[in-house]
Amino acid sequence: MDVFLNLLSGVQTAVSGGNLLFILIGAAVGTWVGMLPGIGPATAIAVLLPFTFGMDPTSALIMLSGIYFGAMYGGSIASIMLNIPGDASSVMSTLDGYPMAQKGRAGAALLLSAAASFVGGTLGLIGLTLIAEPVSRLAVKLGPSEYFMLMVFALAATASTVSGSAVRGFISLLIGLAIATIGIDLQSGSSRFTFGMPELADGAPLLAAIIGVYAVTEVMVTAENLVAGRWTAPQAIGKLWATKAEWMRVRFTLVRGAVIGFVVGLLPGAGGAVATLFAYSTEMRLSSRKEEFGKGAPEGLVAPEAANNASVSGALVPLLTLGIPGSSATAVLLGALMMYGIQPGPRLFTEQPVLTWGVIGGLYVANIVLLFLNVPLIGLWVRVLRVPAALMMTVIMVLAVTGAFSLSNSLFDVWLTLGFGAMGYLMRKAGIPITPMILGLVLSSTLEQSLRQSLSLSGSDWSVFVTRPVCLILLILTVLMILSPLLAARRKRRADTRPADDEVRPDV
Amino acid sequence: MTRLKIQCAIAVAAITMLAAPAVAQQGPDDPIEVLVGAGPGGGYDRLARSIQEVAEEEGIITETFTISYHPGAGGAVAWSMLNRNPGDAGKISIFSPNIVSGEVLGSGGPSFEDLTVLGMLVFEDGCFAVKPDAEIASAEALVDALQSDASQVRFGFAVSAGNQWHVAMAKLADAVGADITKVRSTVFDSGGKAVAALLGGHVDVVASGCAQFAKYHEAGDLKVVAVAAPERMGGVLTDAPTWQELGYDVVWGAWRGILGPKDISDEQIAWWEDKLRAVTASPAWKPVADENYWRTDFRGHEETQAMLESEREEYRKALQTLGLIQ
Amino acid sequence: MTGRSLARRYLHLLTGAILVAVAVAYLWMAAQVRLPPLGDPLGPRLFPMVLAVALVAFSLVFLAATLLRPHKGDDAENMPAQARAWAALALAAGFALILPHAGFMISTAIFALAALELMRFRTLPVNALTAVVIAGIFHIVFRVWLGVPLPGPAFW
Repeated sequence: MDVFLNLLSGVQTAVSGGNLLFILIGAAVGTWVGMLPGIGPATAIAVLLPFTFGMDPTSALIMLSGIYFGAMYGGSIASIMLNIPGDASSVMSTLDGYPMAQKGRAGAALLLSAAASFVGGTLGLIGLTLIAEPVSRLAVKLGPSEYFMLMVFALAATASTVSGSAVRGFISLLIGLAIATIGIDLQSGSSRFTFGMPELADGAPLLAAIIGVYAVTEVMVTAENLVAGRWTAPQAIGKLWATKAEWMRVRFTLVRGAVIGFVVGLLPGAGGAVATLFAYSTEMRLSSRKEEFGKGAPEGLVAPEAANNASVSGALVPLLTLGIPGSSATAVLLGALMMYGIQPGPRLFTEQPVLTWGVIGGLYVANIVLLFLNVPLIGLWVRVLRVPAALMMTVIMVLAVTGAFSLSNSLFDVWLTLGFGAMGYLMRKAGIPITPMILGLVLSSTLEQSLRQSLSLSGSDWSVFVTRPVCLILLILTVLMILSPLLAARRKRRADTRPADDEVRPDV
Repeated sequence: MTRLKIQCAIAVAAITMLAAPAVAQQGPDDPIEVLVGAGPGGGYDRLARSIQEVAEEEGIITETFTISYHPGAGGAVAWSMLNRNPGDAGKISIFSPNIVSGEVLGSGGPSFEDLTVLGMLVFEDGCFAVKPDAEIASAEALVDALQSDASQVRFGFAVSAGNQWHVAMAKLADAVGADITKVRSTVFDSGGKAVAALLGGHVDVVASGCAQFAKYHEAGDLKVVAVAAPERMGGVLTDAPTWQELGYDVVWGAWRGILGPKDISDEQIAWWEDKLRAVTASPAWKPVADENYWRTDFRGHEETQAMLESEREEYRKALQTLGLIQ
Repeated sequence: MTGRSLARRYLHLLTGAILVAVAVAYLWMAAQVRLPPLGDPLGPRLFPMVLAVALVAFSLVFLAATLLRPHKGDDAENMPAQARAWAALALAAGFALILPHAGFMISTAIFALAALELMRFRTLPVNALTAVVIAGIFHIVFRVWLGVPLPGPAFW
């Protein structure tokens, strides 16, 4: 009951004294900024942080959290309409969201996405409200060994995003894994593939890659298609609303996606991208309509959307209960808190109840605000598809260059982005899928470093990966995931060879 | 005519000479830009903002400060940007031991000798933290473990191999007579992850700046068993003894100072020295430093230059001992 | 397999060849990574080398498959169209080049005009006007409203 009282007072804080206005502003601005290519929640918060100086810390945090949620909503819009994700956690939404929009189901896609974001956000917040404390104590039990197995599991899951040739999928994945090795090696301090440039010491920024292979490549491909006369406008917009059948299909997906998003989000070493990846591949493995994934299956859109909004609450769990950020966006929030003179730690809830419950209450409010903000605007977003392609692409390219520059105020990142654009174009032409590369980029560093951390700490003892319970569970899950297409094929063959009932059974 | 000209010339010369001291004390052009070599909220940022706040509050520096972020390579990206404006005393950055450890490791980026060191401001002495209910839960236990079987000690730290916390552990091992190369050391990519690893029992001890652990020590989730400082820390850490008190001469940690591009004139260097000294000596500075667990010990240009040269040698030796370089 | 069909598949072959070359270069560079005298059991070289070997292997398979597969697609016919794609990229590169010198607004306007022309948006005057409007809107939204530092001299 305590908790409900706290939550109520938090909501009260969130709607009083101008905070409601801040939530509105934060949510709206977050959505807009989140739509920009490569500007995800972390960048959105960082960019809008200076506006909060001089504000009361509680109000500032509430607004920043509103921006966080808003950016998650916004990133989906660009993924669905333009195939250009806002950041790594919106990447999975492009897989089914964009095809849906191209087939004339843009309205439905946006609606399902908004609903999924709302449900995911709500369920995640409930998790944050009720079980934050005990769950965070459990979460720290996961160490380098567990993270390694989690990354291995994630690698197996990336297979679910590939619908074509396995060889090309692997090439894409390997490219991503390899690019992420650029930089100063964490464990040894050795420079790898940096050519002596300090700009590369921290590696090729993930966002430069995303902006490059999605936005820049898209512009290049469209330029080519426009001139070749091959560019086709997306199919006429169908109904703006999703059908009952679609709603029925996704009713469990919403919950599954949210749970996965929350759980993965609360791990300090894994963020929105991994959460959406697991949500997507779980959905696909469980679905009886696997072949629709990647072509506009509603589950394929709903799962990552629910997951990434739930992961926001998940990422706030370790931040608010332990002072440890659960994602890159929460790391920015941590920095903001420290700038306001608040040192997050294990006692934040008891020392700063107004702040912590205010933020949580604020997120509930922001979630509702965003739903009411976004659904009516669906009609507007859908019209984006009618903007002449040449104009749209020009604007996107300017956005891409500006966005790339804003990453670290450096033109170097712009050049990297353009380089990634060229690479993405060649990959598309050669039929090499893009998604595994991005996933490889996301997973590589944690994969390699946690393996080495684990071996350093265990004294080169490889058995930890099977003796530690969580590692063993993850290992089994990985094997199951790798085998599942084979098992499914075997089941199918058995079903095909089994004679039809009415042939064998004699008439009675 | 000529006489008038000569008189004018003398007058101009006289005025110029009188004005010279005023000109020499003139600071850099407004605004002053601080290039922070990391993201907002980190150690560099906090120092930059602290200087800005105190300087403004005490009226020591009237020029406007703008802070821009150029994260990368532990600060090296920001430092390398400084030399795009040689001689411009209005562009400064914050340095830390990364500037010498990076040079020794060959990470790229300029050496402090390619820039102008303006002054050293604060020291952030190292704190060693453990989990209270773990096997190693006290300074004595840690020393015992190191001495009896160092290979059973799991040590974690952030953010880069060979940084000040890595070396702090090496200094401790040396002082107690243990072999640091046997200790199971591992690097985490953020302080938060190192703390999480300690809380989860994946490592036995973490070394970091004391500010990292203060809240956990206060809450009892972690315990700072000793500090590598000349005196005990204040705030919530007054109950943590120094290694010296425990009989081991280990004083090590991070330090932070200000530097600018190369070719800054002597007058400008003197200007910065005066201002920074005044900032750190002002009454408004002390609470800020305490909050951050900084030990203020201002050193000017020459002294800092000499200190960096000797630190570079220290780090070279330490990194060789650690087996990170030949 | 005639020379002509090879030419038609040139893009796939080119990509395959680039992949193999890059993979080999990556392998070579990975082998050069400085190994510290002591450190974690795997060291900084192992992971990149494993990746490199795998990449070399898979790219060779890809290249072989491209060479041996029956011809599909019409790469060669599309060369002029592909040139437009690269032209778009070149324009963006030009944009990045002039940014620090001409400032954001002017560079954006020039780039936007060039891009709209390239993609045959409307007539030249309309494109020019659109370009200026785009530059203006960006300037207002990013510089003035959001205060995001933009490349180039302060005002423009």
